[in-house]
Amino acid sequence: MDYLTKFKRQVAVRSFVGMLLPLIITLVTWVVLDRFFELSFQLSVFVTLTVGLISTLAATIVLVNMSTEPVKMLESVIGYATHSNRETAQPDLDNIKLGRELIIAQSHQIYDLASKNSAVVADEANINTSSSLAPSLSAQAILNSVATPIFGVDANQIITMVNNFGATYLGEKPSDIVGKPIFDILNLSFQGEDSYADWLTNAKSTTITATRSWNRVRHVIDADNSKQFDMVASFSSGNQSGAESMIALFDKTDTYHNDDQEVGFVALAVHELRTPLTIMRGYIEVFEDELGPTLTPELTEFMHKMHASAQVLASFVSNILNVARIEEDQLSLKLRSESWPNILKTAIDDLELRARVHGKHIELHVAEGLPAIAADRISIHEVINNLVDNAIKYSGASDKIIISTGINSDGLVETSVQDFGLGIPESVMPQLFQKFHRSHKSSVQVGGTGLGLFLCKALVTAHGGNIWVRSKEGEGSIFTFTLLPYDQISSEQVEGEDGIIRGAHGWIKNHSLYRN
Amino acid sequence: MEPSQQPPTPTAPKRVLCIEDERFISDLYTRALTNAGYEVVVVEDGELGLEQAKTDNFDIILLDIMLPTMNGVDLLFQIKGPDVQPPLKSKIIITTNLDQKEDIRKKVEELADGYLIKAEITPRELVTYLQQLQ
Repeated sequence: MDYLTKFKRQVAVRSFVGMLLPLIITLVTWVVLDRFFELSFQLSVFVTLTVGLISTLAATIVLVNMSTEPVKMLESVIGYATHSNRETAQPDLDNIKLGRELIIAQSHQIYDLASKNSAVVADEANINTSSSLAPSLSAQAILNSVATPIFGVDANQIITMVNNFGATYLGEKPSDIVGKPIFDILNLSFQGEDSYADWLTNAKSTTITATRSWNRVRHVIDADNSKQFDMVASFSSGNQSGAESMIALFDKTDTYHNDDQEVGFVALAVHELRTPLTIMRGYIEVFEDELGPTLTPELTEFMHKMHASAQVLASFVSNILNVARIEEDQLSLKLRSESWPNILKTAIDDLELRARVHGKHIELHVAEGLPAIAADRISIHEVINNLVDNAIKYSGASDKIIISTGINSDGLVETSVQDFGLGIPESVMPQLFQKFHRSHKSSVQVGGTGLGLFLCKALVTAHGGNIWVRSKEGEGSIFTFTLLPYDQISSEQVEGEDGIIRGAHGWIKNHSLYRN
Repeated sequence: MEPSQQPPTPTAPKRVLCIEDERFISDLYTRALTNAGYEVVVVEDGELGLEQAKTDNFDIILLDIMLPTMNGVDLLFQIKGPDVQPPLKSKIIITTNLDQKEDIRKKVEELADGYLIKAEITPRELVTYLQQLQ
């Protein structure tokens, strides 16, 4: 076996060096004694022999420790696999220096055998279990009879096996898939933070076995065709069967398509609100202009409330339409070099009325000397709108909202919107930036999450920035997002365009690990 | 926000062609623009709009997309673009509540001088926007 030869060579080299060292030390001692000390011959021989003996002893101890380390590791792996050992944690194979591959491979065989063994124990009816580690014909037959696409992928991300259902699912012959890179066959994008490629990179460097599942993964075939599914992947390093990771897909194209259509339908309906909304806002403004000076303070207040509510309604409508466009990959931004204080002040002028009618006050702190940022004015305006609207909504009894902006340690322009209100329950935090229709069935979260933060995240991400939140129940929340100085990305600007075009969507694309 | 109702220039008033079939909206725009010192002509369908636009007698054209007889995108293609000679001196601002598919919107934005969503802008904000067009 290849690993075994390598291991033997490693041991041989180390033993040779280990034996050579005492010899050299002995010789050097002899030369030094002879050259610099005027000792009698007998004394010199005695000292030299003592030094030689001690160094040989030391080398032996080191070598024994080193070469028995793999055996110790195997012992603890067996202990772990058979649960016969007091250790509860899985042995960390990364610690081995000598014979790493051999030990990892053997550990896998041990784990493999142990799991087969327990499967046999569990299934008493099973009489004739094959002990071979290679996928046997019957294993392939079983895989082919499973009505779920399953792919096996080797350490270089090349597909080594696919079951019949997997090939049919992609409309290909198995022979056309096997041998190709997985990233060429499956064009995956994910809804969350973590793509398959991210997870795999992480798994490869930190563990030997890992399993992960994703909801709502998309495989794009062409502009009009895509499939959506849930996905499970398992990783097992050094696996002898030729498939380092296995991927199983659970098709949900129809279910998720219905969800999308739901949003599409809502968008269509909401669209019809725009014309009456335009007219209402227009006439409210006429009233303000014409009647403003003649109204009593109470009526002025009513007018402001009406105006502010029409603004909120307009934001709501544009939120829904934007989310629908994000879903359809139809929202694109044009980033231009903009003055951030300028955009912020304009946005807050608009928001001040909304804050005021709710008895809130917005404080703005802008650091000096901010660089020009890369921003799509309208979209980033919406981000501020949403964050401040939320701050107003969840301020509770407190009346202050603080917006501050400055340069952070990474040279990005960081802006935060802070309220001192209700705060966010920890249980809601993980889903905070997700779209409401994914969680609106659980009534607990209805009040806490909506489209606004999902949209903020998609928009900020399309700007190349990041958004996050710190919050404590009862003390308020701080939402913070970053934007890039225009200089950092100005090289992306294409000749003849007056800005940088970016698409906003909720999907994280799976990037290939091994190409480019 | 202060109402901005000063005429943009003391000289000849700027002329605006408003191609808009929703009467309430054209009324609102006419009112705000007239107060700000513009001269406004309203037409309510695409073909009449095209006829007026071709006279090139306007500084600014506000163009809706959903219009009877001819839609705003087709109208735009007939009055702007490399094939239209001589080019119109009028600035064309799309004012719509319609969401375009990205590819159409891109073409429209290339040809037009501005693209506004009516629901997201009040008449007063429209005036400010037009004043900043130079």
